[in-house]
Amino acid sequence: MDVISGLAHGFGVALGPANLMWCFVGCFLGTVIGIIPGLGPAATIAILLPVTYNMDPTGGIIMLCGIYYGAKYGGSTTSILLKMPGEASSVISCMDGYEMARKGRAGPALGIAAISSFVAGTVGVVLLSFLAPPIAEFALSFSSPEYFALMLMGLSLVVLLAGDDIVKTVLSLLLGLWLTSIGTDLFTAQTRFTFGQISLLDGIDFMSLAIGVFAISEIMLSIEARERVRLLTIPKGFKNLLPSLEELKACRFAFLNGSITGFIIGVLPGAGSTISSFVAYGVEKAVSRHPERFGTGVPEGLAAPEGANNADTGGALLPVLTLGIPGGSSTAILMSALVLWGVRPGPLLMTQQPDIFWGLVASMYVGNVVLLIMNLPLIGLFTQILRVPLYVLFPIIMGVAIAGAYGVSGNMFGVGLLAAFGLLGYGMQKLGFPAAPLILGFVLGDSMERALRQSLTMSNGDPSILVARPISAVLLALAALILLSPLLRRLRNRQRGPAPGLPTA
Amino acid sequence: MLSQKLALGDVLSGLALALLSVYIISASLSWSVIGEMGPGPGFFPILYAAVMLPASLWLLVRGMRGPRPATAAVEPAEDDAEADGEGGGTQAALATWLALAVTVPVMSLAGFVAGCFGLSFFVAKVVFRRSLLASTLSSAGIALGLYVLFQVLLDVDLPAGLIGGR
Repeated sequence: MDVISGLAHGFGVALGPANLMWCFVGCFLGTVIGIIPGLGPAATIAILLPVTYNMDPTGGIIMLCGIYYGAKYGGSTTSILLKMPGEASSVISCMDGYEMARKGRAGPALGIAAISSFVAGTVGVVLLSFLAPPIAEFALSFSSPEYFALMLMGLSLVVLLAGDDIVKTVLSLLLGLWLTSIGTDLFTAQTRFTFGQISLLDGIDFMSLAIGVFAISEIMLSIEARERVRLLTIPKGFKNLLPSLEELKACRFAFLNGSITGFIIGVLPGAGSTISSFVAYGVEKAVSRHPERFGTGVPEGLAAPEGANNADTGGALLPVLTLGIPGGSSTAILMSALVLWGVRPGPLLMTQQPDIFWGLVASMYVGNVVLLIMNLPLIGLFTQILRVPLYVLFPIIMGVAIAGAYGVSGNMFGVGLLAAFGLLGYGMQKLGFPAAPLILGFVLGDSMERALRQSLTMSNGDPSILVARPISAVLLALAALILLSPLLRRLRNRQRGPAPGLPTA
Repeated sequence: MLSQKLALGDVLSGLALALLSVYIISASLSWSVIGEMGPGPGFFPILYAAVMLPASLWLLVRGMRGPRPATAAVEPAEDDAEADGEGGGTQAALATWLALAVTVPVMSLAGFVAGCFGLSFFVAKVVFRRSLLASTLSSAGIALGLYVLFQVLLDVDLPAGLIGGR
């Protein structure tokens, strides 16, 4: 099936009444949780997974993906009106977005964020549609050594990009690998690290881990910070939300920059939409004729990062759908959702289950239109969510989290693990350990171990199989280069000597 | 202050992770590492624990050497009292977690609605210091609302108590 006929098939699936409804529900929920500071798409997708158990996988993944990209649309709203990002990826939007709002241009700022998100989000999906088939075809030649090398390279990039502190990022990743080892070994039926607990024989439930590390810890951090909400006013009327022609003209390069930068960075494991928005902002400022105006409320300073964090979605879904390798926490949870429904993401997904692959891709085109409509005229309605008191909101989220953890595990042990992982996630945040590598280590650990053991079994225990095959050798060399790059950079800086102006002793 | 706390955190987390890696290695050595059929169940854990041990010891030593100059220069602005919101932020967060932990046995005994009501009431009354009436009404609404949503409308099973009730 070529791209055009694949997309035609996909639109047939996505425009069916049920899937259209799930797309709308996902975009709506995504916008809502994007607006609520402290609750991210990863936590929401994890919490809602049990609800999707009885759903058709196509409808389920369309809804969960809608939450994923919808949250990025919603995240900008609080950045512009409150200077409080609803999502980490909208942090940089606070700079020019909030300044525009303070100058009485809140409406056009929201309009630019929505239009830029729409343009870049759509470009990201177009790139996903056309790049996925050749990548999947190439990946069909992969065997266990190549998969192991690819996962190792992906995790190396996560180590490099996911946190400020490489040692803590590595430890977080390794902790994830250990947690996924708990349970029964699939090759030999040997129980590992179960501490005599029968409930651990099947391993740790992913939902308890994901909900605990993201949702519960985020609630604890929000309670600790005691955030207060002071909204800037939004002008009434659809016309007042539209940017002027000059503003749109000023943003034309920002739309393109956000689309391309966001997509490329989205493909990289561990980088994520926060980095893509910062890079797009940096590029925009670097090429601007008036970089000194950035931060004072220039529309392109808002359009570039908002575009990038939406184009990132298409890029981030590319390795998940074609290779079965997620690059971030949200995509890791989306992949787990597919696995729970019995769908195997990877190079065969688009040929064996075209409804799911092409249906999802087509639904993202539809979703971007739905979100544009939702985020312009209905923005005033969505901001009312910020008026829900936290003493009501937090218990609701915790109640839903408990129901979600119990729904998956079917016992209270899963709820106990949820609480334990909530404390772990909170502690990690306080001590500067990034949470995403833990989740990625947990999701990829099992496949990585299987690929490595299968490779060594194929070669009768000879590890040279990993470097004897060209693709695997190249990927392992890249992994080594990525891991050594901070060390090489440090050595180069040392050779150059201290920077001028800095004290030497 | 915060940098010193982080350094102490590095020491404690480094120590805990070093002990964990020693445990992983010792447990893995008791299983087959390389057998006739290829790598055994102990093979992969030994590999990652062998990376985890030096990394955690590095963190431990780094923490013991004290706060790093770069972090010390950045962090004073978000120091203790400010970061803790109104002074009791951390206690409030930990109290909320404790309430969640206590909810697990409560739900096992009395079911979802009772446990959810207790947790919501604690958050509203103790953490957010709402009035008794507001706390009771919001908690009852949340517990019943979630029960209707999951058990009745979505047909998702909720914890049932030993003494009866959902």
